[in-house]
Amino acid sequence: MLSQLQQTRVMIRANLFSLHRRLAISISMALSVAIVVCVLAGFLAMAKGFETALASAGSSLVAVVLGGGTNQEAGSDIPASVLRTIEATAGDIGAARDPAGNLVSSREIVVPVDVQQGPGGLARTLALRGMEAAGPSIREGITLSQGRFFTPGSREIVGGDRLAGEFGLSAGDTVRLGAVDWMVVGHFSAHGSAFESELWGDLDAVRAAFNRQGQVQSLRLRLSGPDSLKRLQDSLSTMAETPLTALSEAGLYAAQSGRTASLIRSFGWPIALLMAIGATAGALNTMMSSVSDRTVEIATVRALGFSPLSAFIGTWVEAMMLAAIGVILGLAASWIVFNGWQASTIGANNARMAFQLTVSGDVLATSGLLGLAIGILGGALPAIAATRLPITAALRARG
Amino acid sequence: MTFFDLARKNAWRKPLRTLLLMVCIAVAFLIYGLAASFVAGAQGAAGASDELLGVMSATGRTQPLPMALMPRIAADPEVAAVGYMTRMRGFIEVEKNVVAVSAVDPGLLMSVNGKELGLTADLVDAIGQARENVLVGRALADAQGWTAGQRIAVTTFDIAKQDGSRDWRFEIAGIFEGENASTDTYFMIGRYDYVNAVRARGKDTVDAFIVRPQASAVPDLAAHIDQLFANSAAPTRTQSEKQFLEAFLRQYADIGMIVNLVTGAAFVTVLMIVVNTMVFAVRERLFEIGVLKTLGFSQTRIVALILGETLFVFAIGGGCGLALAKLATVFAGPNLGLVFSPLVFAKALAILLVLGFATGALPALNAIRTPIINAFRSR
Repeated sequence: MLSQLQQTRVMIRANLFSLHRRLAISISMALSVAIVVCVLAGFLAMAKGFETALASAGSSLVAVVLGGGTNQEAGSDIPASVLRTIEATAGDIGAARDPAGNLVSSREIVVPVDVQQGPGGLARTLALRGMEAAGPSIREGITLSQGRFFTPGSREIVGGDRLAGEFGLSAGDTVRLGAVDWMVVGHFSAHGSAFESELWGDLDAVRAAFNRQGQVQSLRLRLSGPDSLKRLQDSLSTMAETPLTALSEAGLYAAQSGRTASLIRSFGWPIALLMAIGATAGALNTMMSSVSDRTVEIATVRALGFSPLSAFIGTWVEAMMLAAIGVILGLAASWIVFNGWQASTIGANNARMAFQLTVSGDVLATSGLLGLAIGILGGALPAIAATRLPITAALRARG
Repeated sequence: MTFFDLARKNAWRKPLRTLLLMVCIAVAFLIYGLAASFVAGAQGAAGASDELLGVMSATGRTQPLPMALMPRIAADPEVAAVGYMTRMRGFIEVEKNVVAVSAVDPGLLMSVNGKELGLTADLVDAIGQARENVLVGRALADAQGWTAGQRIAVTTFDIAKQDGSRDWRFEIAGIFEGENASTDTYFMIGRYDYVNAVRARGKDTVDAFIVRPQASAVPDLAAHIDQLFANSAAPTRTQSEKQFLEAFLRQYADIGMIVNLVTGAAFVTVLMIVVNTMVFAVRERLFEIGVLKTLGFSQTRIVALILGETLFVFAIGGGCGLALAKLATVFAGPNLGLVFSPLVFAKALAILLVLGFATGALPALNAIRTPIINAFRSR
């Protein structure tokens, strides 16, 4: 048993110390593993980043009421009579009230607007959200980072930090949205969530500028407790004939993120797996040349009485070492390059949504495991070949 | 033994190694083929015309333009025909099942881009029979399993009717095929007069005018149209259909950049693996190359031998990869929009040749540089 271990150790050492003889091909194997790891990590980080941006947007303490039987803001419409009924209901409907007994609420509408990114740049579609004065304070984690919030009734807007940076909107600028000019009065921070991709303005000003008078898409309410959503849903169902949907903000955004994130993943996985097949073929070649390079040595030690197992493990460990180097390189590169990379896509309101690629622990683990699998699979076959080398090969050699 | 026999025997000297190389190359070209087909298709941008112009509001694609602009556009002598459309987005039953309805004047649409959409006089007649009639694109009809004569209801996202409801009932009058496979037919064509009469807001406005220029039109017709309305209440922005779609798709993701990065990564990987394996393979048979040299084989022949071998491996591997990519584009549904165009194929062939020569060059150089004496010593 002891000799078995010793033999294996000797073979691993011999394999690793002979690496310099086939340096180029070994490096190419490690690099090909690194590239596969990078590609998978890139796609997974994109999906993760998208989920993170939407997940952190939703709070479970904020309820969104939608009308018209839909469960997303686009296409929702709450008639004015229903709004009045909700506001006039005096009993406990599960929503928080201010000291005067009025509901803490914000009626909202989202309008897509085109804004040029830089002078002569591409026109991007952004979401302009019209809300009531309580809107920013109902949401959680919104802080003003520059200027002030919009004044009710005026054509003033605030933009998310991320958006303001990319589009060069700073307080005091005027920007043309639709047919009229708007004044940028401040920036807000939402900790990188999806809200930072929106422009916020006063509800009535937005409705007037875009011919949406009287229209309300969603009503945001602050829940009185984490478990009062059910009570809100129950009381809404008795309130009006039109179907109303109440869901938590967290639920609203989670439903939106699921589809896009799984779309990104279903693009990334097949590409990464295809590349992994290519890299495995490359690894097999590399390790077979390693075996053929060391034919004489392996046959010699086998003739001296080394076990086939030690020959197998020697070659296998070499393959896994090379793959591990590739994995480490790939993970380091993708962490340095992708983490924090700004990306954007079209979000739920048919407008631009920015997010940051996030290279998280499970992204690293998944792509790293794929890289190691290449080494394990690509090393196993040549390692078996190493155990089958005819011992006579050593005798035929003329080194 | 002829020269080709020698090359062939060399290539199959270690069959497993050669096969593995071919697998590598096939995978890279499969990825390239799929990615390039995706970009070429880019969900209809390939079928989009460079010629047709769309006139939209300068303040954004979602802002309406008044119908009153139409006669002024049509009066321009460089304009052959003008149509208009209002685009409604909605869903069928479940919100994931999104469809688009272009509300148009069927007669005008026929004269502007009837050929590109594959409209026939019969279809235009059919939609003219009743206000609720629609024509459905082949891709959409196949995806939803619709046939002509069926009644459908579309729930729109933003255009409400006067009674406050958003459910629009239509009857399918016919199915249009599109000019060729790359035409986007994942939408339906409805009647503007119906939509305009029933909708609650935005009466007598359109989302876009579609302009077919005269064959002799000057290239800056787009700028010319925009000038007409530059300081009016409704300034316009005129782009070709292709420009518009490309800019629009780029908002979803910079598909071009992602594809370039991924295919670049795949090719770099393959190049590395193949070059190194070939260098190794040639080093293994230095002795034989020495023998060939002693026998009086010229340097060109030895180079040709090695280049021939790599090109052979590339041709078979790349051929398999491209064939698989072609198969995939045939079997993938039309809504993925993969188009394996001749241009994609030609580019792939060019890449194949360049990579084949590039990977063969280094080992070939090694072979001719090694003096015969060293070659014999290697054994």
